[in-house]
Amino acid sequence: MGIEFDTHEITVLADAINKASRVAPADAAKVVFVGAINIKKDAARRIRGHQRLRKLPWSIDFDTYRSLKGPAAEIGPNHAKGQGALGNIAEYGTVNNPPIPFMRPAADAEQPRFERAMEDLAVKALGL
Amino acid sequence: MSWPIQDHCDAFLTLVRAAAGSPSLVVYDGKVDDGGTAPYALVYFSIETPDGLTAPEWLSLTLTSTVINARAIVHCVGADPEGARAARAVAGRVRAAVLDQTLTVAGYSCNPVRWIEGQPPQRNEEIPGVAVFDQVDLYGWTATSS
Repeated sequence: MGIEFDTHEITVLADAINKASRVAPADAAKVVFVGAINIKKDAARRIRGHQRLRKLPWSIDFDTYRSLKGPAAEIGPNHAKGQGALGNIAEYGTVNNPPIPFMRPAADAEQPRFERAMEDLAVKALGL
Repeated sequence: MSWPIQDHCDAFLTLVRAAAGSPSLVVYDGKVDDGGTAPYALVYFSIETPDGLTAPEWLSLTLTSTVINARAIVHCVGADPEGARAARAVAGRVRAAVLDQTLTVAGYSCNPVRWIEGQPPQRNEEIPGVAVFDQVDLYGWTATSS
């Protein structure tokens, strides 16, 4: 007398993951893109209005790319743009000038929204 | 009366000032004293209180702002003749004193202090004469009012 296992639920789940993995990278890239825009805008808002750093908000830029772990974005002041090279001075301050953190707080603020968007994407892709 | 933000800053500064080693580490809060010379650690604080829009899961069911998101930007400054090495020495003492430590703040439950990011020693061009090097380390912790 043998033992039988009903594996159809595992098969269905495996099929759902397989289908989801086809569409997920493109959709995840969209979520990363939107997150990068949000961080860029928020960071610019935080640093705007500083008398000596008028051009810095406009230097904030981002690049999206595919890393080994999936879609990724690099966001920050572009050194090729006006005052972009001063970004670290504003973010961390110097021994003579207090900092005006603008990139890290913007990323921190976006993190929970980004995580929720990725969760929604996973639920939608798996058809749950 | 206790002021939560000041209490968090004081607790962090107390940890840094208790850094092991001799002579005692000179620590400044937001401004270097007139005539202050390297080596020293200069600490700037950045405190945020996330609202229900950015982090609803961080708030209690009553929607009171119970969380403090604290950052300490530590400038570890050293000067010639050891230059960058002196800055790294200050950074090492600060790291040993604060990393993974849990602050004691009345009315708050704190997560351990973590290193978030930093910059290697760089020559500070604002200071003429002797070569002064500045290493930046950003430490952070979150705390929930209990």
